[in-house]
Amino acid sequence: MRHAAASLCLGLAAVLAHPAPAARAETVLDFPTYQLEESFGPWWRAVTDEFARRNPGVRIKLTNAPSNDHHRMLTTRFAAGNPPDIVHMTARFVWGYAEEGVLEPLDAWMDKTDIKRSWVPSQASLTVAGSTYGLVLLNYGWGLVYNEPMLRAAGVAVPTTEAELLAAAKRLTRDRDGDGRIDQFGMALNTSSSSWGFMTFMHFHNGRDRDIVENRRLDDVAEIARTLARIQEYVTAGVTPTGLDNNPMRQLFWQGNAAMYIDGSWAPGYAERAAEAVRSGWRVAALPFPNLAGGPSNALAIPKDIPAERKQLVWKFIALVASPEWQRRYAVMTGNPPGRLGSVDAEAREKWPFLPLFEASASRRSRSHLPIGFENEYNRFSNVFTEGMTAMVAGRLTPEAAAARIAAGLRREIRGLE
Amino acid sequence: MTLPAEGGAAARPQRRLRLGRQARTRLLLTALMVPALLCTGVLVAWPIAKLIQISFYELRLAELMRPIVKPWTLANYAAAIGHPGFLPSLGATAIFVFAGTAAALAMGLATALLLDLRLAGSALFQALIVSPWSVAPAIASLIWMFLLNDQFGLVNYLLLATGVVASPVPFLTSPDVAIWAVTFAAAWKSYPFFTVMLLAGLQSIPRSLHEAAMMDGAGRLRRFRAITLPGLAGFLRVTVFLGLLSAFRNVESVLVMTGGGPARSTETLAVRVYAETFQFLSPGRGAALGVLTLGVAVATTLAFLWAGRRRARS
Repeated sequence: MRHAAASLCLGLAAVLAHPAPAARAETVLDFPTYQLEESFGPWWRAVTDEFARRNPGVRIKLTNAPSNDHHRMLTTRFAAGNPPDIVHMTARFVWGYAEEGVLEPLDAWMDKTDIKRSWVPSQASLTVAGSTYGLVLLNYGWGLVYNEPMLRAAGVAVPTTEAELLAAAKRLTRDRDGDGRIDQFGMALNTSSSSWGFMTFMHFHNGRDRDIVENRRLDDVAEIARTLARIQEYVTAGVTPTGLDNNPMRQLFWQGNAAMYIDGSWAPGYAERAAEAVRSGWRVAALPFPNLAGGPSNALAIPKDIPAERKQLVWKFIALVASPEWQRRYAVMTGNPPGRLGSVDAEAREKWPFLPLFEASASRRSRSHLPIGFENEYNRFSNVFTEGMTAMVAGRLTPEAAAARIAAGLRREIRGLE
Repeated sequence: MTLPAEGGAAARPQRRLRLGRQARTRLLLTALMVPALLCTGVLVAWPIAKLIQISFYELRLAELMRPIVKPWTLANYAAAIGHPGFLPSLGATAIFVFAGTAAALAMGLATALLLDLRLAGSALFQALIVSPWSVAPAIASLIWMFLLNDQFGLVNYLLLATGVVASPVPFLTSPDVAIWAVTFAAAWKSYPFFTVMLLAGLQSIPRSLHEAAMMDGAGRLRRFRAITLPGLAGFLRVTVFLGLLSAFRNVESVLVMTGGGPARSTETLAVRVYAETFQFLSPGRGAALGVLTLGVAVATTLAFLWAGRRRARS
């Protein structure tokens, strides 16, 4: 009995002193993202599985959070000095986080690769004081999503100019059931207080081949007013509901109650849940503007406050993501044009018929929706703009007064803006 | 505790401190309070102290948890108070907090009175009336966002169908209406708390008082004013106090439904704290606004409590 007890104790001691090799060696990289439940989810799962396969003893723990919660969580974790190992974020946060000193420059690793030569133009913009802080996963590629049967029934051609777009929206706006209320809108425009309301402004402003900031100078108030007036034309003509945010805007189109809207390369992902009539009748055309609101959509980065060996592992993961094979798969699996140029192959084109259009949009040099030189202040820009724009849309301000208020607000709130 | 043995000095062990029963009880109670005090210190006092500290420095995110080596400044307060959005946000906060609490109180009192009648099926009514409490704040806001949508919303559908309005009401897209819509949605979420508290208060009022008043010929209104309201006074004070504090810190209702717009018409102080800290990455300014919000909330609730006590005494 005594022998048995002693053997048991010795056995237990041995087990406690020498944990199983797998448990001892496993490194877990924390990777929260807001794209896990979107059409990007399968690709993220596949690439993290592949990373674990190639790196025995290292596992990536993928977790999902809605976009707003995700960025709030990131900010909190950065502030607490407890960042995730792999940082995935909407690109407009890169400059702010970099300036706040919480991101690691990537140039030492990136310069040994072909990334800077092979990537979408906006990759070059993710720099602060000469250092690169992120890898662009997706560059904005835009299209005019339209309901082909609606256009055909109204005898409207796909618009190719801004004037045609407004004219088409007017002709497509209808009272279908004759109750005196419009129930089919020609256009669904985001004129909400969110940053996507600001994006609507930039579609029209960049579309007119103008940047909002050039050489640290804000564009002329008269030019801002001109763009606002163009948006207001849609509102006053009643061809779009007012104050729409992204979800109701998309809902309006995909449920068959709007004929056109502007969306990014992820738009085809919504077709699965669309009303039956829309699912077979939706198409995408190039935006009918001379220029586009370009710029990076989302990016991967490495936090400053993690150990060097973890940074090395995270870079290995970023390098895998950036490899030609996984960039090709990104196009095939998500239907979006990846950061690496030329990654869209025949398989992806066959699976996603409108991908070449988005690819062309994403890879061309275009105006940027970001305030150049003040990228870290993007959210403040967006906030001031949407304050003026929503006041105009609600009928409180004329486009001229809204533009004046926006210009005054930006000059007051953004240090160094002339 | 060992009692000293009786008898000679040689038999007496070392002298020990003797505590009376009361002192021992007091010591035990103090010891039992230590975990609560520690929790309060770590979870409440320390964050508030840290918030106040951050508000006096211009810090980057990376510097928040490190020893501060920068000089202190009032710049964050100057920027927060000098911002043209500050006064409008005070106005929006006043509507959101006071009108919201008043609406929740009215709904809570009405439903508590209804439940106190103990009609048939009141258990089912009780479950229905209290159900908004069980809904997560963000979900409740989403529900109201859809209900009040001017294109697909049920509320507009009903208003149009019944001919109350000729065109959809822009509940969330008009700067004049949005603050009231958001306030109502927040009140809907919080009224069950008032119901539960006030129902407890109503049930603590002896029925005999009502019966005696009825025999004296007092009508419903008279009994409500002379018996119910005075009987509920203490409950009302506590419930409104807690309701006000809860409304001050409510940020999710506005963020989900309007994001502070349109034209900043629903931007309460709590939303500004959120925007400065999490959207604009200015923790110092966010902290300064947080301290100001805390000050306004504490001053308001203290004034309310003081007025309540004064009235009770008089």
